[in-house]
Amino acid sequence: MARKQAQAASHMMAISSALPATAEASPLHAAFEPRQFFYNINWRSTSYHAGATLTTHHGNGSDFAGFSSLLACPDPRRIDIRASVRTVPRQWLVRTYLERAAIRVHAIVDVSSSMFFQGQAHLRQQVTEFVSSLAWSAIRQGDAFGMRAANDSPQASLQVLPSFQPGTAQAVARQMTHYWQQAADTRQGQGASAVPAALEAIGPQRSLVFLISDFYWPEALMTQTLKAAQPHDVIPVVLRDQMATEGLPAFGWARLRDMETGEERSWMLRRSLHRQIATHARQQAQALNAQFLKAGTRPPLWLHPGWRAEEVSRHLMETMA
Amino acid sequence: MWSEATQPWLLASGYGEHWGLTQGWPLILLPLAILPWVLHGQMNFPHPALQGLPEDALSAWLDRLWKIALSLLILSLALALTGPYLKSSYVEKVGRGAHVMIVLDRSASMNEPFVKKGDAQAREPKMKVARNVLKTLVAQGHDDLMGMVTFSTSPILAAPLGNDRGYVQAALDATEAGGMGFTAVARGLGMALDYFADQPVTGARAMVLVSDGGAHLDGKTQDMLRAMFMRQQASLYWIYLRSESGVSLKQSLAEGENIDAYPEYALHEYFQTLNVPYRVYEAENPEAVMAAVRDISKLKNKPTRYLEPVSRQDLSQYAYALAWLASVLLLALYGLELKRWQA
Repeated sequence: MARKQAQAASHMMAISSALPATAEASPLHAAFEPRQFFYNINWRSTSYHAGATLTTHHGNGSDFAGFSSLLACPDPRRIDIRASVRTVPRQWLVRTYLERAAIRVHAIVDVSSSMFFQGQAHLRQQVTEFVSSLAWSAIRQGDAFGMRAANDSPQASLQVLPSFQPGTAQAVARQMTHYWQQAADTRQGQGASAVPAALEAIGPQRSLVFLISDFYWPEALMTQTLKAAQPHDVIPVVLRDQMATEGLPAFGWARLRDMETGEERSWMLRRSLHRQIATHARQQAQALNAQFLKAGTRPPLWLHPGWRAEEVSRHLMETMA
Repeated sequence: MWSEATQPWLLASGYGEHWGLTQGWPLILLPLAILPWVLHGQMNFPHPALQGLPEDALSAWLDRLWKIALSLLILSLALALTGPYLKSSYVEKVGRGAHVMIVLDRSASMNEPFVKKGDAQAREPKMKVARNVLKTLVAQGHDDLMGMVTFSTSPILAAPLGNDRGYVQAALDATEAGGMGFTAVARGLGMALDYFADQPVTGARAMVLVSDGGAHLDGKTQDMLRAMFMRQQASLYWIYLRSESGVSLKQSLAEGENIDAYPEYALHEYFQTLNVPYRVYEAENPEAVMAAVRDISKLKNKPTRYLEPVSRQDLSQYAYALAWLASVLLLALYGLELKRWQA
C-alpha cells in the first residue's frame, strides 16, 4: 500500500518537474495543462448557489445545525423522536441542517511593468499557469471564478466576471497568453496603482481573493491595497525573480533601470555589494511578510518556478486561518 | 549684441593680447558636452524594483566619472579643434653678462687681404678674419646680450640686442657676400649706441668695433659721437684689422708726420679722447684676437634684466593630451562594464 502511494507520488513529481521544461521550450504558447489544488474556507458563504462551502442558512445539507419545532420547520421526514421525547412540555422537534453553497474565487493580477522582467524564471508564464490552474481548481470545487487585472489602469481585456462555466480555465489561459503577447507598450513605466480599484470592483461580498503580484510596491499602494482587501479572504501570491537580487553577475560595472519608475542606478558589482543586496532583499521579504500578517491576510504564498499543485494545496490547507 | 556683451570679458582674459584661437567655429561644439548628462542612451539592464535596494557610493561615482570623462573628451576635442595658442611675447629674464654690440665694417676695404707675414696664397680677406674673430666671440659667454650692426656707406641693423645667438651667427654668416662702399664708422657706431638708448643701464656696455679704420670724422660728428658715448656709458673695444698699407697703432707716429695721412691713427687718437674705457686690439695674429675675446667675455656684470622674445606656442597639444586621457578612462570603464547580465 505504502509502496503504491510512493509510486504514485513519484509519478506526480515526474509530471510536475517535467512541466517547467516544456514551459521553457515555448514560454507563451504552452498548452494548457491544468493543475488542481485544493483550498479550505473557514468562513461561511452567503450565496445560494450549490457548492462546497458551509453557509449560515438552513436547508437540505448534511451539516447538522440544531433542532427546531415542527411548526417552525414543517418537514416530518426530519422528526427526531429521541429529542422530542426529552422536551418538556412535549412537542415535536425537527433536525435542521445547514446548506452548502459556492463561494467566489477571484484572481487579482498585477500586470505592471515589473512583471515583464525576464530573468531566470518566466514570471508571465508562471502567472498564466497559476491563474488558469486556479480557475480550474475553483470550478472543479464548484465555486465561481472571476479575474481582474490592473497596472496603472484596469485591464478590461483580462477581466473575467465570476462564473461557474466549465472551460473558464482554458479561456483564461488563452486570454492571458494573448494579453502577454499584445502588451508591448506596458513593458515600461507602468506601476500597479489601479490594483486597489480592481479589488474594490469585485464587490463587497466576501470572496477568496488570490492577489498575484511581485509586490515591488511603494508603501502607499501597499496600504491602500490591503485596506481595499479587508472584506475578503486574501491570499497574497508572491512571484519574485531570483535573478533580480541573488543571481547577480560576480564582478563588473552595470547600469540598471527600474522598469516601473525609470530610475537609473549604477552598480559596481563586487562581493560587498552582493552581500548588501542580499541583506536588503531578505529584509524586504521579511517586511512584506510582516505587513501581510499585520493586515490580517493569510500568510503569503511564495511561488517559485516549477511550483507544484501539492505544495500550493498544502499551503492553502495549512494557512486556513 | 552677443559679441558686445562678451567683448569686455574676452579682453579681460587677455584674448588677442596674450592668446588667441586659430579658428572659432569649433566653439559651437562645446555645448555638446552636456549631452552625457542629458541623454540616457547608455546600455542598461532592466530591473523590476530598485526602490528597496542599496545605492552604492562607489558605483554612483563610477557613473559620474563616466559622464565627466565623456564631457571632458568632447570639451577637449572641441578646444583642440579651435587651435588655441599663446601669442609670441616677451619674457623677462635675468642674465649676467655684458651688453655687447658688435659693429662690423663691411666697406670695400675689408675685401682686401689681411696683413700677414707669409706667402700670398695663404692671405685671407679681412672680412673673413673678422668673421672668424666674431664667431669665436659670439660662441663664448652665453650670459651676454649681443647685437650686431654692419656698416659700409650707411649702417644696417643685422641683429638687435638680445640673447638670441643664432640670430647673430646667421647675421655673421650673411656677411660672406663681399663688402662695398665707404667706411662710415660714425654712423655705424651711432646706430649701435642707439640700441642702448632705450634700455636702463643695468650692466657693462661694450661696443666691439671691427674695422680697418679707414675713415675720417669731422669735428661735428666727433662731438656728437662723444656725447652719445658719454650718455650711454659704453666702453669701446676696437679690433683693428690692419691692412697691408695700414700702420700699426702700437707705435706712435713719428714727429712731423701728417696725421691726416693715417685715418686709422686719427681714429685711434679720437677714441682715446672719448672719456670712456677704450681698448684697441690689433688683430695681427690669432692670439691677439683671442685676447680681445677673453677681455670682452670677462666683463662681469650686475644682474641684467632683459626681455627675451618667446615664439607663438600652440596649446592644442595639451587639449589633445586631455582628450587622450579621457579616452583611456572611458576605455577602462568600458572594459569594466558588464555586457551581459549573467551570473
